[in-house]
Amino acid sequence: MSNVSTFGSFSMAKLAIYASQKAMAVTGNNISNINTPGYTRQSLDLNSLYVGGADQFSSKWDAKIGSGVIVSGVSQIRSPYLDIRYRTENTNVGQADKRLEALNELNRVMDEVGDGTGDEGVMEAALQGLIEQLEYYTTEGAGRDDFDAILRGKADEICKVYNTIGTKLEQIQKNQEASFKQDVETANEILKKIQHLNIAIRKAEIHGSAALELKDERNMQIDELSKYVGIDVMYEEEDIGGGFMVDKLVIKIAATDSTNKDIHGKLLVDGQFAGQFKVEDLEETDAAPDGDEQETVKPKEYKMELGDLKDRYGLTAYKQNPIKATETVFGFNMVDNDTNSYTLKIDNTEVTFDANQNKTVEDKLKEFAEKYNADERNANWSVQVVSRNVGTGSTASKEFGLKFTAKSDGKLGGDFNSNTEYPVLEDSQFTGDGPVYVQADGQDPIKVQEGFEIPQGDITGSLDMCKELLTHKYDFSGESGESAGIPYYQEMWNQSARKFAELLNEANSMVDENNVLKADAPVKAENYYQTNADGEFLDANGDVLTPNADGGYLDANGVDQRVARKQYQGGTLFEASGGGLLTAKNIAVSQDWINGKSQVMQSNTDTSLEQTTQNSGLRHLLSIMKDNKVEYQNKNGDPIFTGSFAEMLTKLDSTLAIDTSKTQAELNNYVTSLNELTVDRDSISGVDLNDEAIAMMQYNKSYSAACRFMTQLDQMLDKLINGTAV
Amino acid sequence: MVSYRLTTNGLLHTYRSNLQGSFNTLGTAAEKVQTGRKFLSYAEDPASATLAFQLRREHWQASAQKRNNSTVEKSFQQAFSSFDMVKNKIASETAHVNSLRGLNDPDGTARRTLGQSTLEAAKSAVQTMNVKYGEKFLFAGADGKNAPFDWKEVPVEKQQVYDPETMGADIPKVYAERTQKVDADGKPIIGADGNPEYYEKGDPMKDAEGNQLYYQKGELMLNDKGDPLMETVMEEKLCFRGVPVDSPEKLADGTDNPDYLKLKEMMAETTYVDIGLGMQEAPDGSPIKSTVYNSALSGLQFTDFGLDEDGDPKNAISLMNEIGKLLQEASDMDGQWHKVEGTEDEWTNSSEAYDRLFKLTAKLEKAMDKMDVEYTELDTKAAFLQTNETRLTTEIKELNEQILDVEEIDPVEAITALSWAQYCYNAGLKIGNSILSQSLIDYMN
Repeated sequence: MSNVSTFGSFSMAKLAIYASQKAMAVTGNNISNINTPGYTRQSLDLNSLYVGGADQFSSKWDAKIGSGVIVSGVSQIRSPYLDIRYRTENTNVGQADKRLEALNELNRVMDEVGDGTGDEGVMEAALQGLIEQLEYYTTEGAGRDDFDAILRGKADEICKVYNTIGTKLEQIQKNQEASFKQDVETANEILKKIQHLNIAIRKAEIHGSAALELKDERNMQIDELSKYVGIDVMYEEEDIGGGFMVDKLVIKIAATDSTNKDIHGKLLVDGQFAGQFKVEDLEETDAAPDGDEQETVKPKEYKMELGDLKDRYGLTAYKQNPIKATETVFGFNMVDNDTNSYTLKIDNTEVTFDANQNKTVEDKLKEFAEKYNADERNANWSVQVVSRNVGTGSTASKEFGLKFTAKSDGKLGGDFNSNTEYPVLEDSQFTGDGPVYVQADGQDPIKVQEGFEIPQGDITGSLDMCKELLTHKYDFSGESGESAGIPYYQEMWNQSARKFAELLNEANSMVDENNVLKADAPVKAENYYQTNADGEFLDANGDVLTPNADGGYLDANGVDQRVARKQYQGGTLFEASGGGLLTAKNIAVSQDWINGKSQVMQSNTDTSLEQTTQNSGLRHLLSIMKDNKVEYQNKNGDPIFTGSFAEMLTKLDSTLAIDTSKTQAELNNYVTSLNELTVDRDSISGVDLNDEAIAMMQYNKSYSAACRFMTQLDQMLDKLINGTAV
Repeated sequence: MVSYRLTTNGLLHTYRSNLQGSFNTLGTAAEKVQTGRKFLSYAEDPASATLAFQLRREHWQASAQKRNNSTVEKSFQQAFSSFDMVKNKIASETAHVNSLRGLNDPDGTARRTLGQSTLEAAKSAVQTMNVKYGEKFLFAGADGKNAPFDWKEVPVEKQQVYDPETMGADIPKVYAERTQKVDADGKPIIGADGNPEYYEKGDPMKDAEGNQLYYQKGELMLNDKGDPLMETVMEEKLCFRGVPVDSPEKLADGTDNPDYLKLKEMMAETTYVDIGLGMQEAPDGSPIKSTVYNSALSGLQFTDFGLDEDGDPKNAISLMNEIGKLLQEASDMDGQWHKVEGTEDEWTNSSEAYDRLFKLTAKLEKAMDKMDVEYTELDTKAAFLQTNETRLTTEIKELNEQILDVEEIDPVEAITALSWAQYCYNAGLKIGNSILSQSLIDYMN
């Protein structure tokens, strides 16, 4: 017969009331936190209580009844699978969002759609404005005095637009750099927060708390971290002694390529330890250090690293269980003249002892030691056979072991296999199941994870995207498969400005830098009258001609060398303001042009005749402006685009637009997916008012039923006590 | 086991993101209606944006080319009308008629007046050929800032005529070429060696009696080597950009005349413009001629230059001038030509002068034929420019339509899209209201 207690059922009723009350409290907590960010729905862990087992009075005819309900705790309802998917998607969102943010900035500078008067675009209109004026002067304005000034005005307009774009692109690059560093700071803050939360949760769990709210906060931080870098999250059990286990959160890097073991699986957080990202600005190099005229932008290089794993005080974490000793002894409980065979393998040395070798343990170990020490691969350790006396009197015997002395840091491990169990000696370091880490005296201990560099493209998330945007030169780099970063656009705009200046300068002068008529000049030397440094016209002999009132130019004999007309006067039209390589930011109308030393060359026709309305020079410039065969090269000098100046702008705009459009579509996909995952996650972990209303009704009823049960018991006992055998 | 349980917050999250999407759509639809554009950024539709810029560029260029075409066409029309005046009114109706009347004048009394009129016609032709369009002289080739035709005193090399008043003394006459010696009867004189005897070029010329002969007034002179004695005199000549149009091709010594070469170069001058023929340059920077249009007109092309095989001018205006001068040389009294000693006229009597007038008239007719050819040519050019303008106008119109097609919204479509977006957004707002109000808690007692 099972134990019968008069008031036992009262306890059952009491537990039932207690359970319903607690459940109602959990429901109330859920409803209260319905709007709390990151809150995970909680539920009460209820277990049916059964007291007792087989006892001396037990009988097979006995009916064993449970003792009610036990509240064993409160738990959260989460789906690890959805967490992984959410965070993976969040990494994609972070990456695409960061890219789109920068591309939108670039679009604000470069996108000309709908800009300018009549939606013509700003740069487009400036270029077409110059072409239009050249058309006009070629047709009816050749010879007019005002044409040079008007064309200069138009050219200046183009320079100003180039300058604005060049300056703004530089500003975007600076802003992006600041954003990169800020993001690194934020990611580090998150890592720190997670580290602190890990410590708090560990403590709470040791003290028996489930720390659910802390876990909610931690989950939110992990979600946030996943925006910056792709991660794998794992929960490991940590033995804190006494057979008590607590959860340990481990966050690892999910590299772009999971086979890249240098990065993939590296620890970001390991329980109470966490790493911190570091960004080092590598020294900026000169614009063209190798004299490469092609390249004008040398973007700053950044070295991104993950530092050593450290604890919250900033102290480096070391391997969990390093043996702080310079020597270790492996003992083996073997016997002399053994009839069994066995193999001893330690470090790189392996010796098999066959059965019936008629050797003592000491001899066998000596043989092993000798072989071990002779092996050059075993550089970290030296070994010698040691013995100790055990037992006394008739039980006195000797035990033998191998004493390893460390020469430097290293690990030591091995196997001891035999067909008979020969356990290692109890106090031996040798456990036979894995390597033993030994730290040599005076040497640094082994770090849990040494800091390492994270190369561009090896990780996912917004941090890597920031770096990509800051450094990638896409087409210009000549490397395939790269995406365009800000330096690409800077470089191509610079090249666009430079080609514009170079080609027009080249076309507008028939002399070289030494003021000597070029070999391929369209004019014969006898027909060309160059100017000296003061802008005076010279005849074929280099003598200065004197202008007269009729617009003629007289030689020393007073003969009008009218052919020395201004139509041949060309010169530099554009230059780099402030010197150096010409870029979009510094292109300017040359000082010579402003001062009148240079002017647009009206004619390049080879003749000794006076041709006041000859337009061949202007027409040549016009052809260059419209020429669709201007070649743009990458840094290796290979052509990457051929087209007119205006077409080059379209090429840049469309490259940016296609990238933006693609990134926008990607982001839309990721965000849609993330939204779905948010809802899916919420469907598991979120609070629903209907659910809670049902729970309220349910617990209300169960509470009433438990109370009713107690009343009923009371009535029954009252009958028994007061109404029975009266 | 996903999504079986739609929670309050899950529902709100979905609602919020959908409502944002709906509002975005509404915003975009409204912006499209406001701006009238199909796309508001390059990224929205990269292919259309690229096409739109390309079309706009072509539109811009076609417009500029049309302006160029129109300018050239107007200048050609102006040139045509001026040249029409020169050819038909001045050359044909005045100068040519005058010369015919001069030839056929029964008593010749009107010749001087006709001469005066013809000279005026020549002057008038020059003025007309110096017509300007805008600030540019139309017939000046590539030197439009300077008037092309002008009457200028230019130095001319002429064979000197003996004039004792200026020469001051008798000058021995010499042989111009190797000449066989003859006796008084005109028979060749045979020398001691049995061969005929000769006077060498430059040898003093003697009469039958062996007396030295001297130049008589008005005779052309030779130097002591037997070559023509030349002198430089200033003469009013029709010049084109400072170079006499009647320059001979070769100089007396048989070398190329630099003036003639200049005229030739000036006649071939070009000023190419872009009128939408696909302007391109050869690798050396020179224009590919089929892709550009030459807007330069040279007066030399229209009126001709140089001298013909008789040494007469080919230029129509020069010929008018020559005819005018010849007519003016007729006598007031009898209308005939009387040779005045010491003049360099190419005739010695009235009959020769008449022949010369006849010859010059024929040459003027020939020059007018050449003018006819140029006249037709100019007309053809103007007609081509007109056709080209029509083509460019059509091209611009088509480009405009294409631009509108690529960039501009269809108002009906856009407004329908806006209305639909507005409707969806309003419906979304209504749903929101009902989402928030419903839960089981509302029904609990």
